[in-house]
Amino acid sequence: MSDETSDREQMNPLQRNRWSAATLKVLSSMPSRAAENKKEELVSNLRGLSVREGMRKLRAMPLSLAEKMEIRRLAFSDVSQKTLISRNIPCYSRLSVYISRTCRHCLFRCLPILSSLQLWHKPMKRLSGRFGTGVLSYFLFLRTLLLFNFLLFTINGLFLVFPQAINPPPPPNDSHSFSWLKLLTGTGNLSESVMFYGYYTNTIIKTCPAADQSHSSTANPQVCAKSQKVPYSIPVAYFLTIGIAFFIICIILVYSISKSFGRSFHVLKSNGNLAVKVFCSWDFKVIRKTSVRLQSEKISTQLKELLSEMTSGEEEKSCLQRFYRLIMHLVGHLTCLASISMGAMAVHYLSEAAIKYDEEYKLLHLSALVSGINLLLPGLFNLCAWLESHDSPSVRVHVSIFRLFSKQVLKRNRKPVFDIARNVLELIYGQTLTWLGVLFAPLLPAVQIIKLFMLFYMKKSSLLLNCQASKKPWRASQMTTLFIFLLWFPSFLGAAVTVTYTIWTIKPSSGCGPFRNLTTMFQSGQLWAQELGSAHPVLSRLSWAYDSLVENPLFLFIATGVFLLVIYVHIQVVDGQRKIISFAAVLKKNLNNMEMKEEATKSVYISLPKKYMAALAENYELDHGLVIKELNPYVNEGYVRTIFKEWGTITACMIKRSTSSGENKSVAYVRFSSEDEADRAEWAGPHYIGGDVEVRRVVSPRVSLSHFYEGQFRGMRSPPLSLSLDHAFQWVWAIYCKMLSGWMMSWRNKQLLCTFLPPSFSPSVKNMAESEAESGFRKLNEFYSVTVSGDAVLLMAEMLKVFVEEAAVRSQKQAESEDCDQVDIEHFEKILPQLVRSSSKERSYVILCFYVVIFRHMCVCTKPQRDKATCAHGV
Amino acid sequence: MGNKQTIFTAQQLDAYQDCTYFTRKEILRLFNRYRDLAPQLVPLDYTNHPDVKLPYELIGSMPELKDNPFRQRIAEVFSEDGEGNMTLDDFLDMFSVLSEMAPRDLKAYYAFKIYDFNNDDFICKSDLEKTLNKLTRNELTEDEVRMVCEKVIDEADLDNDGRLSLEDFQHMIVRSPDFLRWVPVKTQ
Repeated sequence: MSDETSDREQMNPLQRNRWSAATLKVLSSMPSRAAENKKEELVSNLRGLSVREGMRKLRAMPLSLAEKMEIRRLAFSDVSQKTLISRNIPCYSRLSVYISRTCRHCLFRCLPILSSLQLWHKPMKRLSGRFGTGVLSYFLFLRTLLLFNFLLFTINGLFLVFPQAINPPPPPNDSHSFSWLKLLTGTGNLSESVMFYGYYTNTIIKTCPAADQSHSSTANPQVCAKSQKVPYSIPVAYFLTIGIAFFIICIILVYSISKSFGRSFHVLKSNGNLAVKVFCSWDFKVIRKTSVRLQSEKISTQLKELLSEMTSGEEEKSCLQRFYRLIMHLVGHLTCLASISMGAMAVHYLSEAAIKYDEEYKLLHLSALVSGINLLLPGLFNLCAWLESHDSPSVRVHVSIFRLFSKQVLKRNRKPVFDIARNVLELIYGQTLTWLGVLFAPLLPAVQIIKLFMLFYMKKSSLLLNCQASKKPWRASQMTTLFIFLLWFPSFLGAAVTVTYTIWTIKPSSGCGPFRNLTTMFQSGQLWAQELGSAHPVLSRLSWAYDSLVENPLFLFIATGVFLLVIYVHIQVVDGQRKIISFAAVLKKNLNNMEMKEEATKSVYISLPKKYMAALAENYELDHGLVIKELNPYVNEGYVRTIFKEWGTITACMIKRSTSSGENKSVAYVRFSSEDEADRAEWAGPHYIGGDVEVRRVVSPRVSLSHFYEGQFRGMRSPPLSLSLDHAFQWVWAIYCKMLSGWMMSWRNKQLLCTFLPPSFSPSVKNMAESEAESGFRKLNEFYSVTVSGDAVLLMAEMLKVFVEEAAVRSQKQAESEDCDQVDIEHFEKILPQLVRSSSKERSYVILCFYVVIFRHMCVCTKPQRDKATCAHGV
Repeated sequence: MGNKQTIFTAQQLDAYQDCTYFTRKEILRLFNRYRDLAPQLVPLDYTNHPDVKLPYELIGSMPELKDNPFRQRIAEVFSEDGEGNMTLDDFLDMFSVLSEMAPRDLKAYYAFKIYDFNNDDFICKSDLEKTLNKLTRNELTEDEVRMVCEKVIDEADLDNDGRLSLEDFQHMIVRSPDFLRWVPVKTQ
């Protein structure tokens, strides 16, 4: 920009040797712009700091190494002899640097290792690179299922299968002849193995087998006598194991649902992050050739997904087309429903008939029919989907999932449509069967584990060999949530209800199994508890616990209540997060609109009476200058510069043209090297620069908000702004509280902002209300140990900005209504009560804190168009 | 001291240590790596500041850079002559900026320079196109590239001048947790 070129001109004489253009630019954007000689200014700046601080600053400067070394020589030449000493003296600080360095090393090393420890880490990466996140979500789901089954298998295996397997029941008398048919129907020998319910006995295992075999002379009799007291009853184990396993799985499922809900909202937030994707997604750590290729594949797929998401759903359709489409949908859905009901009827009829047959192979008819329908219907459904030709593949998946799902409910069937919908349904179906069957075949999870393992490799290789990436890429941001929810609601809950019903009311088979001779499975628990209570007084507590926990409806009732409460709180928290995210999005949008560019983004121009300037100058280094409004847009910087040169040295001059609105005026900012010069220039008015202009005297603190952020990020203890860390923590705390309680809505009414402020807000209050302030400071100290994420600080700072801007606009309006063209501190005082809504008791000092804080930041913005914009936003 | 000290004087080492994010050991290690690229060119004695430059072909063949699509830009940005030929200072500078200890702002500044292919201090559409093509190995069609460029500029450009300045870039980077991933190059 022309302003830069002027800067460059200025600096040309100073640059002794090759300072690149970029370096100059950075130098010129540094806060210390006022000085004539950049380098010397830099050097003297560095001198002002302690050696360590200065070194850190120097290191972080974007200069080449040679330049840095020269500056170092200039700045630290007098201390350079001592560097060795000074470097050695603070031994602890060296140590801490060393430790932090090692920690970082370790962290960066460990992160990739940890993530690669996950199952199938590499194949997953490849798949997501080639096929996008949609397909990836299927495989992730598969992995989740695998973990569930593994858990179930471990529990069952440890407490049920293992004890029974080491105490086998007497072998049955009638030996079956082996036949392949039996492998399919699952009868014969197979039913006499640990895999099936019938194998388990209703005996009570003595945990000391030595006692049984009357080898008590060799074994320690005391131990045996003791352990005999703790019999291991298979029926009870059976009953409790299954129940507890279901309970654990239910908790895990609910937890992961709420978690993935939260995550998908976060994804929503990042909808517009194409720029970040482009610039930040390249992982520079990758150095292997294959991984480099994979990475670029992945990035391009993700870019395509983002792009297609942005462009979709904009076409307009004519009335006729829409009608045609509606008819097509109707026909499609009707066909599907009809075929589903026909299939269901066929299965029902056949299953009635199958029961009457005795011959084994007839049993297979049912399975054959079901599989046949499974094979044929997908084609039909595919046809329907093609007819409907939904625009978004994402919608298609949803539709087919629900269609399939309805089919699934009607009959135990499998699914159509090749892609994700079908495969996920297949998984969920399989999992439901496992959960249903686990009551009667405790080893079913193992079978499922093997199946999933094989499935993964089969799907992966078939995908890589046969399939091509979907033509329309789409981002499966919320797919996982849907999958897990489906897994929980129909699949798991259905299975759990069925199993519970079976346990509670159905009479178990009297011929075999652990529950023979009992009226219900549940009875085994009751019997065990009674027996335990009577036989072992020591363990009566256990039986009491059983009585009150399992049998007492009150406890069940309370437990369910607590459970629901937890779910509700989870939902609330997630909801609060969503609100804060959408609020932050609105905020960001507004701020982006409001933000002035270039220098202006970083500095605040304050126009205020001369008497207050001294107070401001105590806290900040000030730049003095003039703001010229209503400037003719054809005037350029050089012209403005020549006019004001008369009164002093101009260190910066820039013109901002109004980009929006039809108004054809621009604003200029002229900075003088000293306060006097600026004053003189103002008093010399009225000025005439290519037309009548409005000149205002402004000051701007040299410390900008961007440096404020910087300070936060580097973890500096004393950021340059006096409104700083302590306030930051208090704000963050307030934000956090609000988030938890889910009252985010009220944030939108900006007038409530101030109610979040803790009573003791600024150190200046301390004198006035010492006791409150002290408690506040105590809190503050606690917060010092809290780590604040960068986002939170940003949000906090943005909130503060909004608030200050609101105050600015309001006071400006107040000034307007009083026909003053200068906003004064009086106006601000008048609008202050509007902003501060608090009880009368607290009001006095809250106002005071605000007075201090806001007045420091208070600004009358320089740009006319900006004033308009903020007015529109405000109030 | 031992023969290690003959490469640099103590003052030189101090200066390097103050101006980079490395310890003495790492500086020597990096020097050895630098020298290994061309043992016949680089002298073992650096006490009198010899004017040695390694051509880009050698720098670009280092394992860290070999397969990086931006290797040429990285070398150009960090080299003093802008053509990728590096002195030892440039070399140390590069590793220092890319190391884990360098602050995000510094990295953002150099990342901006890397993406600014035509060195005009702004990332404009042509720069973005080049970036995208390198990033995706020309996988995107021209239309897609154009659209992505438009969207990116639309998103990140705050002053509506149709290109991204350093401020725009930093503004965007600050919000991205991913940017921490800009930590390549092992020092070993």
